Amino acid sequence: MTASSPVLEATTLSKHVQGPEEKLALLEDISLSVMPGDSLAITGPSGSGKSTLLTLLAGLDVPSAGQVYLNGAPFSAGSEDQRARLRGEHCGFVFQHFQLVADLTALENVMLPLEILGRKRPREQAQHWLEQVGLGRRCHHFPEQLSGGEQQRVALARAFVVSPALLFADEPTGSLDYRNGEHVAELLFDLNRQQGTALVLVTHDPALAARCQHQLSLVDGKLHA
Amino acid sequence: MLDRHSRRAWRSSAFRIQALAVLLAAFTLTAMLQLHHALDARFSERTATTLGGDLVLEGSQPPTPAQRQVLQGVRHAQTVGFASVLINENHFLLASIEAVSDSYPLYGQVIIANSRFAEGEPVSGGPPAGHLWLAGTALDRLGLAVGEFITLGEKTFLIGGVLVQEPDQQSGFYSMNPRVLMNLKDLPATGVLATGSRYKQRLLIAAPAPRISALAITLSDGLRPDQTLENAADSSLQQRGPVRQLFLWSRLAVMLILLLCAAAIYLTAALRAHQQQRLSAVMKTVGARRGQLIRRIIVGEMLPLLWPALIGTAMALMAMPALLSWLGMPLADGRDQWQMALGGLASPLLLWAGYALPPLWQRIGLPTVALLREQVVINRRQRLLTLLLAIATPLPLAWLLAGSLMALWPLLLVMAAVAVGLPLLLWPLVSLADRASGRLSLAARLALRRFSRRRAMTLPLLAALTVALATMTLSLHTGQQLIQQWRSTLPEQAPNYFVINIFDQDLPELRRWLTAHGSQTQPLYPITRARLTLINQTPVREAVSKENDRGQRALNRDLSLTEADALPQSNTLLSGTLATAAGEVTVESRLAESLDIQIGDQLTFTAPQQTIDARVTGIREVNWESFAPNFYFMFAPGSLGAQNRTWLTSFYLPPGNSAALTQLVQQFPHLSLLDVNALLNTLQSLISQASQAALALALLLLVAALLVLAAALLATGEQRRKDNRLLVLVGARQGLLKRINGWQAWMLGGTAALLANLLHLLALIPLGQLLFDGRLPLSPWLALPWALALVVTAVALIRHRGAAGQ
Ligand SMILES: Nc1ncnc2c1ncn2[C@@H]1O[C@H](COP(=O)(O)OP(=O)(O)O)[C@@H](O)[C@H]1O
Ligand SMILES: [Mg+2]
Repeated sequence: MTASSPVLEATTLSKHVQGPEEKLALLEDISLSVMPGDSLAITGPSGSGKSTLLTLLAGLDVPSAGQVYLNGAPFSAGSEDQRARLRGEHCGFVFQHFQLVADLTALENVMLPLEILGRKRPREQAQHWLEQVGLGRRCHHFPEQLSGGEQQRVALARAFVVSPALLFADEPTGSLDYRNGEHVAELLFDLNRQQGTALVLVTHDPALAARCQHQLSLVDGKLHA
Repeated sequence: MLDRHSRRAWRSSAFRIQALAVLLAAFTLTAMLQLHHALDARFSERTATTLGGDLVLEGSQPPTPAQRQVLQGVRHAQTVGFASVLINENHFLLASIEAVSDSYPLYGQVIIANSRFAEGEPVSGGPPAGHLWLAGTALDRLGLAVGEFITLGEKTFLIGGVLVQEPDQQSGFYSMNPRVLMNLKDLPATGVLATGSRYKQRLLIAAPAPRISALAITLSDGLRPDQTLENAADSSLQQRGPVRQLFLWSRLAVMLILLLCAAAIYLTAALRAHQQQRLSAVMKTVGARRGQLIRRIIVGEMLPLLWPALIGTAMALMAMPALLSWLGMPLADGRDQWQMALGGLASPLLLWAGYALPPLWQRIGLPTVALLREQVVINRRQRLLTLLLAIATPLPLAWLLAGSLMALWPLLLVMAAVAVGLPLLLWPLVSLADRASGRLSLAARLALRRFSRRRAMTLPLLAALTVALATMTLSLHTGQQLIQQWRSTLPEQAPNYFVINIFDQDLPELRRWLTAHGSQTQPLYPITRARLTLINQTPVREAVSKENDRGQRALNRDLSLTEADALPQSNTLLSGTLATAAGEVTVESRLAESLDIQIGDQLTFTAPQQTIDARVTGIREVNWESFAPNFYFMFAPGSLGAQNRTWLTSFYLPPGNSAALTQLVQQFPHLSLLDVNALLNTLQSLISQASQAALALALLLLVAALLVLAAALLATGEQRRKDNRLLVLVGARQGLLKRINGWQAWMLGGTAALLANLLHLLALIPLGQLLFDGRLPLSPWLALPWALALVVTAVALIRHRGAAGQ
C-alpha cells in the first residue's frame, strides 16, 4: 500500500433488482475512489441509494455491474467468505441502529472481530479501545444496559479495534440526540486523524458532511457533482 | 371468509407450526379416545364372556319370582350346574353337567366338534332338547362316539357333539369331572333334580352398562343368603396387572403430547402476537374499536385453526376404524364416535385459548403508543392470570382422557414438578458453564451465550424436551419390558393343555409319554381337596365378614392344596420364606389379605379323611394371568397325606398333534385333558396389539417434541438472523456461523438427551421396584435421545443459510 494508491476504488457500479413489475435500477454508473486517511461524505435525500451504495462498497452485497477494489484487489469478485475475510481485516463499520450482539458484553462485542480474525491478545486491545471511547468502566455491561450513545461508542471501539484502513459509517449519529451525536462525531473524526483511517460517511446532515475532505451527493441512484 | 383468512394466516410460518400442533393434538386425542374405548370394550367383553354375562346371579336355589320379574325385557339366560352319573350299559361316569336355557350363551360361543380330536367349530346356542354335548374325556371313558346314545337319570339322550370349549369356562380347570352340556328343558324329565342335592343355579344377564348398574342395585337388595351377585365391571381385566400399567402409560404419553403441542402453540403465539402488534396499532390509530380488534383475533387467528383441528379429527376418525378392525377390535358406535370427535375437536381449541389467546388479548388492552413503540408492558395481575390459565388448561383435557383426574394427578404433579423444577435447578448451572466457557472455541462460546442469555426461554424449552425425551424412552423401555414380562409368563410355548385326575400309579408312564413327545412340562403337582376351617383355632366363618367376596368364595368350596419344593415361575415371594419343612405352608397374597392371614398363623384344613394343620411361613404373589398351574396354598413336601391324592400338570404340545393326544387318553382313560389353545391365542394377540400401540405413541411423542423444537427455533429466528448479519459484518465466514448453529443445536439436544437419560434412570429406581421387583435392565432405548440430538445437529449444520447484507 503506497500513499498514492487509493484504499478503496469503485468503477461504474450499478445495482438492479427485480421489482414487483419491472426491473428497478437502484444505483447507476457510480465511480469513486478514496485515498488512505481521506474522509468522504455521501449525502442525498432519503431513498436515493446511499445505504445500498455502502453495502456494495463494503462487499456486503455484489453489484450488478462494475467492480470494487480494496487496496487494489478486486473485492466484489470474491466469494462471500473471501469478502468477509477482507472486510474483517481492513474495514470497520458504524451504523445508525446500534449494531451490537445483544448476548455479548461491551468488551466481548469489541473482542469479537479480533477473535474472528484470530488476532493475539484480543482482551487487552478491546479493553484499550473501550477506554479510548470513554467506556473503560462499562466493559461487562450488556448492550441493553447501555444508552444509545454508549452503544454507538462501543460500536466505534469495535470498528477501530482491528486498526482498519477504512471505516464505513451509515448515519452514525442518526438515532442520537444532539449532544451524544456530537460526541460520537468528534470521536469519529479524531480517530480518523489519529489512526489515518480513511472514512466513508453516509449522512444527510450537511454540517457533518462539511467536516469531511470530500463530498458526494446521490440523487435517484446517480452521482450528482 | 374463513378461506381468505386461512390463506393469509398460512403464509406465516409461526401459524403453520401452530396449525401442525393443533392437528397433532386433535389427531392424538381423538385416536387415543377411540383406542381406549375399543380396548375398554374389548376387555369388558372378555370379562363378561368369562363370567357368562355382565351380571351373574348365582345361588343354590332357583332365582325368586321377584328376581325374574326384574329381568323383564333384559337379555338373560339360565343355567343349572350339578354333578350326576351318565350310564352306558355297564359304564358309569360321574360328570359335571350344565343345563342351559335356549338363550345361552349371552357372550361368546360354544365350540363343539363332530368327533374326538376333530377341529372344533363355534356354534350359536347350546344343545337342542334331547341332545347332550360331552367333553372328549367323557366319551373316552364311556367308550362312546358322537351319534350314539347315553342315559342320564330317567332319560336317554343323543350325543350331538364333542364339547371342546364353553365360553364361560371359568376356572373349570380344576373341576374333577368331565363337562357335559344339556338343554334346560330336558332337566325335569331326567328326574335327577332332587331336593337336597347341590346345585349351582346361575342367572346370566347382558345389558348396556347403565342398565346393569341399576339392575345390580335392585338385585343385590333382594339377595337370599345362598345367592351372590357378580358384576363384570368389578372384576374387569383392566384393573389387573400389565394391562392397567399400559393404560396408565398411554395416558401419560398422550397427556405429554398434548402439553408439547401446547408448548408449540405458546411459543408461536408470542410470535403471532408480535406480528399482529403493528397491525393492531395501525388499526387503533385509525380509530378501530375494541370489538373490531377482538373480531380480528377470532377471524384472523382462531377460525383458521379450525381447519387443522377438523383435519386432525377427521384423520383419526378415518384411520382408527381401519386400524381397529385390522387389529380385530370392536368399533365404537355412532354416538360414542361423535362424542370422541367432539373431544378431539375441542381440545386443541382449548389449548389455543389457554396458551395463545392471552398474549393476543393483552395487546388489545395496551395504549396505542405502547403498541407503536413495540413496548409490551404486562402488569402483574395479567401475568398471574396468564399463569393460572396455563396451569388450569390441561385439567379438563386430563379429565377427558382419564375419565377422572384421580388416576392422573400423580403423573401431572410429577410433570409439573419437572417442568418448574428443572429450569430452577439448571439456572445456576448455566451461569457456571457460562463463566467457565473461556477456553471453549469462539463458536461454542457464542452458542453457549445464545443459550445462557435467554434462559427464561431456553430453560423451559430444555425442560419440555427433556421431559418429552425421558417419557419417550421410559415408555418405550418400560412398555417393552411390561410386554416382555407379560409375554414371558405366556411364552410362545405356554402350556396349552392341562391334565388333571392323574393317579399315583400313572406317574411313571405319564412322564414317559411327556418326554416322548418332547413336551415342555410344568412340574407335576399333587392335589388334595380340602376346606379351610380354622385360623389359629378360630372358625374362619366368624373371622370373615360377609362383604369379603374373595374370602367368602375361598371358604365356600373345596380348595386344591398342593405340595412343592420350589416357587413356580409365575409366583413371587412377597414376605417370609418358602415352606420347606413338613407342616409349613405359603399363602397367595390377596387371599391372605382378605382372610387376614399373617406369617406364623396356624391354619387347619378339613378333608373327608383327614385334618391338615400347617403354619404359614410366607406370602406369595401369584400371576393369575399366567397359564401355569397356580395355587392359593402351597405346602412343603410331606405335609399332605397320600390318601385321596391326584396329580395335575400342564404341558405344551404343538397344534396338529391329535394322534399323540388320542394315544394319551387311550392309555389313561380316566385322565381329564383340558385344551386352552383358544384362550391362549386371544391373549397372545392382545399382547402384540399392546406393543404396537406403545410404539405408535412413542412416535407421536417424537413428532410433538420436534414440533416444539421447530417452534422454538422459529421464535428465536429473528434474533439469530440479526446476530448472524452482524457477525458477517465484522468478518465472520459462513463456516463460523455454521459451527455456531451446530453447537447451539448440540447444546440443546445433547443436554436434553443427557438430562433425559438421567431422568430415565432416576425414574427407574422407584418404577423398577414397583413394577419389576427391582430387576430392570438398562435399555438400548437410552441411546435414542442422543440419536435425536445428532440428527438435530446435523439438520442445523445442513440447513444453515448465510445471511449477508443488511
Ligand atoms: N433489495 C431491494 N429491493 C428493492 N428495492 C430496494 C432494495 N434495497 C433498497 N431498495 C430501494 O432502493 C432505494 C434506495 O434505498 P437506500 O439505499 O436504503 O436509500 P437511502 O439509504 O439513501 O435512504 C429505496 O427506494 C429502497 O426502497
Ligand atoms: Mg439509508
